[in-house]
Amino acid sequence: MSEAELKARSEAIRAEQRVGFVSPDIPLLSNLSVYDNISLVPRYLTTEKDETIRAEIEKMLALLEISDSINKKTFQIDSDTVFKVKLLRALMLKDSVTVIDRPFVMLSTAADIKPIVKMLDTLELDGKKVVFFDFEWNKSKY
Amino acid sequence: MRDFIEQLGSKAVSTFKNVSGFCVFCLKCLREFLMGSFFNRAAFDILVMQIFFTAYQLLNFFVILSAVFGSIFIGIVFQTVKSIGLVQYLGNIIMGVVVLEFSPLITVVLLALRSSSAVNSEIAVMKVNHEIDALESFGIDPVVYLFLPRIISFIISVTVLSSLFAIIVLFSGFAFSSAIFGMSLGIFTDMIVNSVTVFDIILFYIKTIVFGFFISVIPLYNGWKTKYRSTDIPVSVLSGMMGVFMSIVLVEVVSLVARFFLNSL
Repeated sequence: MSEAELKARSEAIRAEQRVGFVSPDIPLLSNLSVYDNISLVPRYLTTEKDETIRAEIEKMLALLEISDSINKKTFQIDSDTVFKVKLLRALMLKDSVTVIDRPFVMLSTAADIKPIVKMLDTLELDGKKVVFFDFEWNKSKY
Repeated sequence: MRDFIEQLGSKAVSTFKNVSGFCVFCLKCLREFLMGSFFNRAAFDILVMQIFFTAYQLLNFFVILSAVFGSIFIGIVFQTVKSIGLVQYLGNIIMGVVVLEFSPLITVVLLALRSSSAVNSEIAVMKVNHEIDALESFGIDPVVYLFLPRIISFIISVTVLSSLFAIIVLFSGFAFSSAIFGMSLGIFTDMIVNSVTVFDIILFYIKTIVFGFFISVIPLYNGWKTKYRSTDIPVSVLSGMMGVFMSIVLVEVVSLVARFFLNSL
């Protein structure tokens, strides 16, 4: 799939609903910790209490087994953890579609989609829509 | 000849684009300020952190610098005043030159060297790394989250630190005037109070606010318009710092002219 096509499809989704992107082109903020990266979206966009946001993030980090990374900066975590943090950041965008763009670029160790699906199952997303965008040649991994 | 005209035209167009882009950027920041967007808790956290980095972290060094530099400067001024017999103008010299002109200038130069360059490179690196795009993709306005807190923190920092510098210089002034001229605290206070007008104080604070605005908004704008190339980061910092220097000179000249007109009224 070309970059232009990806962009066009992303725009189409964006027109309907807000999109939480998990993409190699959308990095984490390097001067913020893992917690601050994830909490930034709800703290900026919603009026949810800080305690509620913290509890939710701590719960999700525990489910993905990266609780020990909560106060680490982005340069201190490996690429798998970066992917998980990006995913959690995208999921924090309420009433949105989560778009996972070229997951195997970010998770180079994953042989197929199973580990990502397992992550999404673990997080128990209540009917949250998750869309994958990828290259045609990765079709066999899905 | 044609080449020369083309170059001139191209330069004029790019300058116009740059200036109009800067004005639009300033207006966006002003609009968000008037809307009170900095009360957003994520932006407010950045504001508090920036005040910590810009003013609080510098405080010890700044107090020592003001005490040493201010005392040396005021000592030289007092000796000169004594030697040329202008003791009756001592209050005007302390307030007019040292407090109202020297304090904000030293403060703004120090903050520009230390913090403006840091802010410029930080924003430029964020731009090159697509971190600003990341914010926008989640609906976070970089003007509200990144720029406005930095502008406000610079304005607060320049104003507070200039006032602090002025207070320390006044203490030094009293110490030197009592040592050199045997002046009591009462006489010194009277002399200072009689040599300053409300307009001078208002102008001092307007100047610090304008200084704070320009030494933050220029590096922010330059960082923000950096292209997506790491080689553009030093170019951005260079042009940002040149802009800061020019703005300091411009504000200083305008304030001197304003004071001249106010005093001649």
